[in-house]
Amino acid sequence: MNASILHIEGALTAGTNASAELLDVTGLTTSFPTASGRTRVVKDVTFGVGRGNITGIVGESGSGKSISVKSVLGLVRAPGRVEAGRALFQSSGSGEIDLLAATPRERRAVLGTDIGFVIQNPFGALNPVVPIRKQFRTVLKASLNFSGTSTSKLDTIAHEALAQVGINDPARVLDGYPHQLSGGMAQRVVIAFALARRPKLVIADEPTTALDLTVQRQILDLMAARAAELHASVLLITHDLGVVAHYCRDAFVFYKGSVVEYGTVEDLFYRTKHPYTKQLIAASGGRAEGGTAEEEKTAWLS
Amino acid sequence: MSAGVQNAGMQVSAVQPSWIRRLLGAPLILAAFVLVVVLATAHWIVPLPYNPIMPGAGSSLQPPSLEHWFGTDRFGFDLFSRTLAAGSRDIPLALAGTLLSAAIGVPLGLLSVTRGRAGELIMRGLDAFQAFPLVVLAVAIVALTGNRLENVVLAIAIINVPRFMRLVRAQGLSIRESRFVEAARTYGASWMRILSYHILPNVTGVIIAQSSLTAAHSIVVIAALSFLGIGISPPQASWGAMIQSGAQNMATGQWWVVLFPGLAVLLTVASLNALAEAADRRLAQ
Amino acid sequence: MGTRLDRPFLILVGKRLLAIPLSLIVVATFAFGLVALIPGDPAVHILGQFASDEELARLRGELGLTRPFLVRYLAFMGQLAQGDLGTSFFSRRPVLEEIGRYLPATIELVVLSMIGAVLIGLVVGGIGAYYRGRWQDRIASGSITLFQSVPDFLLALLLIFFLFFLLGVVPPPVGRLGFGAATPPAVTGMLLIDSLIAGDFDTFRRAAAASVMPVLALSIVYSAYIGKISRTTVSAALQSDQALYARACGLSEWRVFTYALLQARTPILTYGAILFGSLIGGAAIIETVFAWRGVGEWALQSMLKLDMPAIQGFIVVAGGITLLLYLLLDILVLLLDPRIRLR
Repeated sequence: MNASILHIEGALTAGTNASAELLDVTGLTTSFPTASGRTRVVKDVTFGVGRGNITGIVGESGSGKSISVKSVLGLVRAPGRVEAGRALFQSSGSGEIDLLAATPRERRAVLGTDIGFVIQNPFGALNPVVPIRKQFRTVLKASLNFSGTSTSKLDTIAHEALAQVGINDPARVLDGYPHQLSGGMAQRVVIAFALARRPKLVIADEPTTALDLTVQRQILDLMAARAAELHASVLLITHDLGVVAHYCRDAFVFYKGSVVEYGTVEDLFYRTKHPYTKQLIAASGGRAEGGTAEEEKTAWLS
Repeated sequence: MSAGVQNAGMQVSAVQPSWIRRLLGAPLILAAFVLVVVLATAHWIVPLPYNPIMPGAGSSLQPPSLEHWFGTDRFGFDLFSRTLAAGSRDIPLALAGTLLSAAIGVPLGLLSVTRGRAGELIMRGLDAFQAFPLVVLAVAIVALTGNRLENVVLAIAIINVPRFMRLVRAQGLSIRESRFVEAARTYGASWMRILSYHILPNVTGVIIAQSSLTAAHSIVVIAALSFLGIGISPPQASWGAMIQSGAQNMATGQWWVVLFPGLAVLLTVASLNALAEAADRRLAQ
Repeated sequence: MGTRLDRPFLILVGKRLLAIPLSLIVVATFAFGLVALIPGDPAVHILGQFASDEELARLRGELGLTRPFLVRYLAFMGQLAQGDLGTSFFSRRPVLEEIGRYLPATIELVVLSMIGAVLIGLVVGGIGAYYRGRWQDRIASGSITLFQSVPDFLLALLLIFFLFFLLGVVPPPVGRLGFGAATPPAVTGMLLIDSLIAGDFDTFRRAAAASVMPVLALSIVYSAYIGKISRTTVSAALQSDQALYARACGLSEWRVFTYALLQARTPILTYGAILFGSLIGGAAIIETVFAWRGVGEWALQSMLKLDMPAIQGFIVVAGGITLLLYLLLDILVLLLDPRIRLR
């Protein structure tokens, strides 16, 4: 595997106060009504992504990792509510902006221009009754950079983007519909959607969980490579520690709505602090301690 | 009542204890239930201020007053008494029709669950049946079998049997495909036992919800029938007939003759609909 | 959308077309069976209760009621194959002619009412779907339940009171044109179209004004069904992954909503077609209230008079129109949903 991905520019600061952060989320709290009253599913969470980094968010299902990200993006709808928090983002259009305090219009501008989103089920992202070409155009136009661009130019960009994610016949895919694609191809299309706008940040929420094992690697490699080319940061949400070990520079460990540990991948695996993280690692078949450092490294990074 | 039958992570309960409490818990739902009961039984329980089928002397088309709370109609009937009397005809009719259609439709639906192929064909036929405007069909049935009360019940029963059949079949089929029925079959349970022990308890909730919905719709059908003068002979009181007798007065401004029976219909139907929704939410899983 | 009138499409349409004659036979059989098995005696209705037995027997023979069931059935089907729906017991005119006279009025009423119902239903259902769970939804859902609970004739009477008596903005409910108005030369039989063709704007305005109340009554009541299905399907579409993703891409709320509507259109269209079909007969009571002289009102009267050929003819025609509607719906759905055909 391409080890250079793990050594992208810049030293990562362990804390989250540095202004080199692209996305800096502090004190995020989100609640939902349940049968027994209002429950906080995300409790005072702090995380962030540095420029040019691939950062992981790892945890079991129900740990609040998806909801945290959705909260920051403003995707939590009533009756859920973001109760507190600040999410500073270095946008291209409006400078530093607090996504949680921004107006819907400002937020949409940032989402359309600077952030690319890849979700778990690619068929869930693509509208089944609209041709892919039209969907691509709509997504591109949501970006401030492309709002005035002509249709034919947009189609060219789409064509190029599809080619860059490894699709052999972009024209045929553009003319077709989502259900004609395989899972892997559909996810490539979604990645193309995300990257065609040249975003600063790509957020991928379990992007390969729904795919075959053989395809998973390809997709992740593709995402990492393309992001590196664009100097974009990646926020990778996953429950798979192996993925974190392989692709991420640093990661946040989520447990029951809180961040229990944060650190570079090396810190997390070799100098684990929190008991839950140790459990996670142990459950995944690795050993948190013991063995020579070299053995551990090889086991995890292969 | 038995608590639950747990099986391989899939919980199926027989009708749970105190379902009455679960259904009627919310105050609004309780009010709806009470309203329907009152309208249906007031005639027999409470002494009505005036005789609903005897016209009063020389007091036709009086607007609402202290003497006549709902006013009087063209013939001098006191509308308040007549509205309540009509309730005790219309609501029991609707309930009887609903009960009859459930009594026929549910067993047929359960039967079709065990039959498979033939069931599909029958369902297609029933689909075509459903698209027909049911009020017109009810008119046809009553007009053709004789202008009597019993035939109104029959008509309502007939037009609603398909709904119950389809509902029970849909529920039954999905349960039939479930794991614990599979398990039951492996230890040799007969279809009878599977039907009564596993399938029936689980469809009870939807049956109750659908019954309430059907009853609501039946009130409208009955009102339409008596509006057209079908299945009713004067001076019997029925909301639809009362509305009909006041129809021409709407153009001349005597609104009360139509409004009060109309309100009665509206409130009864709305209450039954609300009950159906509550049943759907709290009993059907 | 692209042209998709290709072979698989034509094959599917062909199959549907072939099924129509078969379905028509089933409908006709049902019509005949239902009417022929009734215990009532049409002769009594025609001649009255005090007619003598010989007169009744003679009339029954004339009407062909004394022949055996199977003979009557085959005669009926034979006539049907030649496009003959029989002769009305009462008016002694061909049933087809009678239906032709009354059908356009109903079609006019039904088309306008469906347009109204869809407009109202989509708006109310859409609001309920978008604001699901919040106070706007309560109002929307409440309205839907209210509209569904109102009998159409009651609403019509209330409208007569408010719009005609109180506000005086519409003409009296005495038919499609009211008193003393001349009918324009009949091209389609539908007043609104015919008067426009003849350039008679005065009649057009009268006809339009006269149709306000009945159309409004039917639109409101039937909008409940459209509203219910819209609210459910659009709401599901708005909670779907597609909606989430669209928002994550920074698309405007309006765009997200229209995408949801696109996803929900097939069930809504299907329901609309079913409603349209059922309105042909379902508008009967409204037609009676407003003296509309439509085919539903005529069918109702025929039923009350036990005019058997008329009832049979009505069921066959209404069934035929409904089958045609379903065919059109199928074609539309095939054209609109790419998943069904491209396999």
